[in-house]
Amino acid sequence: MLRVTDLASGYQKIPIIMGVSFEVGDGEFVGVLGHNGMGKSTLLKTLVGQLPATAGRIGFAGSDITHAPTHQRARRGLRYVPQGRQIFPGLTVRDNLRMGAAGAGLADDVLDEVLDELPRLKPILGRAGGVLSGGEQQILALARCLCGRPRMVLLDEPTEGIQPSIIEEIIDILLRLKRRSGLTIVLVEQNQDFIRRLADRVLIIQKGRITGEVPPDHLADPALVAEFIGMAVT
Amino acid sequence: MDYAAILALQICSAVASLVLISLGLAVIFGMMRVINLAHGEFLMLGGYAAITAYNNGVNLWLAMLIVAPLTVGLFGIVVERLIIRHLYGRLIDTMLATWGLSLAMIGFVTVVFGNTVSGISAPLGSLTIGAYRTGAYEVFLVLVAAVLLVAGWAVLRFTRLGLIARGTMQNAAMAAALGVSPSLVYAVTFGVGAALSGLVGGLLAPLSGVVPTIGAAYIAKAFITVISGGAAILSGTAIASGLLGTINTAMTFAFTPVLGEVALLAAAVILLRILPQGITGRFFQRSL
Repeated sequence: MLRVTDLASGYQKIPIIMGVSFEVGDGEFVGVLGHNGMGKSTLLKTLVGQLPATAGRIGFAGSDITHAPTHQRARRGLRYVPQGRQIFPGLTVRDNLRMGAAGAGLADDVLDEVLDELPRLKPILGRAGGVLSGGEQQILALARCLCGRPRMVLLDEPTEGIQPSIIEEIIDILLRLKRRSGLTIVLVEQNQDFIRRLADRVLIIQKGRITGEVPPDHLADPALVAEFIGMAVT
Repeated sequence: MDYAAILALQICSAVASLVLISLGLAVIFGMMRVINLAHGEFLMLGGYAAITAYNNGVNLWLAMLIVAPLTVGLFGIVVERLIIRHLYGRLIDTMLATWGLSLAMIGFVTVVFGNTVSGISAPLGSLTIGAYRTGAYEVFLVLVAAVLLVAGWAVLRFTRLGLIARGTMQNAAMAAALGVSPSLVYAVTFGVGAALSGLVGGLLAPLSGVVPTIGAAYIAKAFITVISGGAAILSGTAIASGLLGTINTAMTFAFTPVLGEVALLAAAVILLRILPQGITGRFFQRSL
């Protein structure tokens, strides 16, 4: 589904991502784990086209999308739930979801399907996105992404600033999506427990490079975590 | 009673005039944060488009309501594609570029049409209210302003196009990540703003006539109204027009037209001193 080859990118002349290569197969759930500032978010922004690739190639569903604009990548089914959610604050929950469908050229009927998966949003459809709690916004951001019927979802730190009960709910939702729809997901996270419970395999990112791959179970072992990435267990 | 009716009509007419000359600017500035200093010249171009079409045998209403907005709307899209789209996020650069464009438009139109007043007669005749008479066309313009405001609100509130425009205005990068092309939205928005300016230029041509420099007569009032209105495109423009138009007409009736203009400017200065973000920056923040 996704093939990244020798990808490089950064901000102005400062390189952040350097020579990153990896593949994600159909229906796979791949985690990318790394410290703050290691290039996790930069990697996702480059994949969706918010940052230009300075070298390398991004192949998605058989096409080269390295230089395609962001909206064309989204229209091909590569969708993004950004860090900080980026809900449209002045739009209602319903209109935020409609934006997800409109961007993909889908009718509003798709909202019913998504709301059946995420019923927590039903009672708050008329509220403005900007007044929701962080957890509600995260679920809304995920629902908005699903309204475009994506082939692949890129999730950037969905647990950031979210209370533990909502994190459990997000885990349940993602597991359900993985099981029922076979959605392909790339998740970047610092929360090792979260990534361990969801991912089929975990890529380690350090200083803008993929330095290894570990089975998720290894993240339960503090000694192995320290060996691979030098991170304390969260 | 007749005096009160004619005064009310004049206030409505002044408010409508501000709404009309500001609407195109409000759409472009409010949705895209582009300060279009060529707005007055877009109005001027609409006037010339209507007059030229009419002089070449096109029905007056078609010339004003179809030819003028279509001409200026297409011109606006060309301007956006060639100039504006390279300057998004660069406020000063867009101001300089549109100012240059306004000078070029004035020069070009002067070369083509000459530096003389062109005009057409106002249709619809006059309206008698007791001992007073006023132009029925002015009442028509009040209705046009109301229709444009309601139609604009309905498009933004109820249509998918309006939803995409509102979403893109709030966060263009996120809209793009959902599959919306901000570039296309901006081109259409600029075209719609320009078409509105063209429509109004065409509609005002029978009242004011057109000269190549007539844009200067509109631009200051349009900017004052849009800035006073604040972030909400339609309600901000409507409320600011209501307030400033009423003050202008009341002072004109009580004293002189010159004092009416002075009062309008003074009211805007005081308003922006109290509400630097404009009326809808403090009140009606969630309105469109």
